[in-house]
Amino acid sequence: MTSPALRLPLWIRLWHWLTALLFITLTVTGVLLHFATPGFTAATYQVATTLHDVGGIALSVLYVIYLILVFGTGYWRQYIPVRRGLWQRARAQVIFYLIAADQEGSSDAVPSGKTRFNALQQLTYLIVVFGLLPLLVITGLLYLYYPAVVPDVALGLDGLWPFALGHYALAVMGTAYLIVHVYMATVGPMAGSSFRLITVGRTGPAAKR
Amino acid sequence: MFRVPTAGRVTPGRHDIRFKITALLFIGLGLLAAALPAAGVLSPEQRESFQCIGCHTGNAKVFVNPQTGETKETLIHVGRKRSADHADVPCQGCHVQGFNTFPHFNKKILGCMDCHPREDASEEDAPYHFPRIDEEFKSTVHFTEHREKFSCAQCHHPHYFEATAHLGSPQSILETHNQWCLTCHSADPEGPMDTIERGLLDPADPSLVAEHPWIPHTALHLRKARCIGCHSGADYLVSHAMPLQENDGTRRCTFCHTLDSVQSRFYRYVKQVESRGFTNPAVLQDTYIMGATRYIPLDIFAYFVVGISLLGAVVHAVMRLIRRMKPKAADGKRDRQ
Repeated sequence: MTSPALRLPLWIRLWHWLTALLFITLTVTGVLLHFATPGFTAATYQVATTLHDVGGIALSVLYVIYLILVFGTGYWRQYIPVRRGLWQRARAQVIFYLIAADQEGSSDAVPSGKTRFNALQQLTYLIVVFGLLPLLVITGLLYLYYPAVVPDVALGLDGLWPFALGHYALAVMGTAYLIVHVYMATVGPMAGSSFRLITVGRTGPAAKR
Repeated sequence: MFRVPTAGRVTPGRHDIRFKITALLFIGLGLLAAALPAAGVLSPEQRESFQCIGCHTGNAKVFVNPQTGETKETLIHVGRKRSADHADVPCQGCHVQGFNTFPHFNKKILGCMDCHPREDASEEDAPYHFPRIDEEFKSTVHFTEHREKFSCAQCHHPHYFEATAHLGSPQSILETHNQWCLTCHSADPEGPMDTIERGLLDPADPSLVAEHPWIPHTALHLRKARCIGCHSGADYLVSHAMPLQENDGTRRCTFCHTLDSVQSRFYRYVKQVESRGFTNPAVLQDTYIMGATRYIPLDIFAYFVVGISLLGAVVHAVMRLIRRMKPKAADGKRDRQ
């Protein structure tokens, strides 16, 4: 699905793996914190708290750096889908993944030469990178710097609860995305080609179309 | 007072009237003193206590030990005692020896365990497990390090003590219970003295916040949580087990940050609050506690979304495996459909 002529810049790969590492850490520690019981988390709660706080701040900084680079290099155009026939192409891509995922050859949603994402990827990454991730960062920072930055009361209850629940809901959706994203990286005619791409910057020998 | 006879004439004067008024006054007081018990205004025990209150209220009632120079305040706040749990206990109920005469010599004052658990109120005292409380208290550093000074009365003032259920709002419970600790464990050496004995100088130096650096938002935690929420066992409702060492597990974040949060304990007397889908809704009215005040519909959403994602990935992977395992076509090439 990606032109073998394209190479993936180093900064994208670095950002991707750092974000992946932080996101997995935040997800695991988030589960420990939310579902804590004296038996399940007691000895590790402090560690989980520290890791989650530090990881959250690191992810926030990394995200800001990514935004600067994305807009500075023009890479942001990769995320903007061509609107004509977008939903049809996305649907076609879903069907392709369902019935012909490992097939060599093309899907009905071959990306254009200017973008390396198919329509489904563009939609998904647009929502995740420019919607889910910044909202997670914002709600997380508000949660971290409570009570200075949240109202005292919200609907008769302590004012933190909307931000806490918002952060949790976004994290749940992020976890679902993580599962699907990691799994979909295994899809393709050549095993591990996606992992190779995002690690070394290109797939192996040119992928046959 | 008596008419002074004058030669040849007796006349009534002011002296007669003063005598009559004085006589009537004494007669009236006598009748009153006789009538009061009959009217039930003062019981015998109250009259006994009244003797004590006559000295132990008012101004400048500070006892100074002539040998040691130690001062002890001996005033009783009658109003506070009358609203406390021991309101009906007369002074002589605990101050059993040496207090009927002044000065007080050979004094004997009963301790809490001399009465509790009460034989005539065994059901009322049963939930507190007083023998266990006594045993736990004697294992604490409060007792082992300060045996001479520390007793139940150090925290549970026998004159003014009110059980948690009688303290009213959770905020009142929080302030009352923490004040027991802060009387001694305060960074202010000039802080309020215990009325029974001078409080210890602060073992939490330089401040409680500095003593708890591992807690995020330390000041906020200390302001909102009871000291005994962490510094006692979670097993019993009125645990007096205060662990000696700081590395023994008192850093149990999960005492509060869990569904069965100890923070909910001083909300147990709050009128039932509508949950609106939240766990520990009474606590949430004051504080959102991660792990304790969870929104159940969102948890169900989480299980569903993550579950569906995992299931979808597994099913799709199985389908791919099945396709790869299809038999070869007639031309010998594997059908890659």
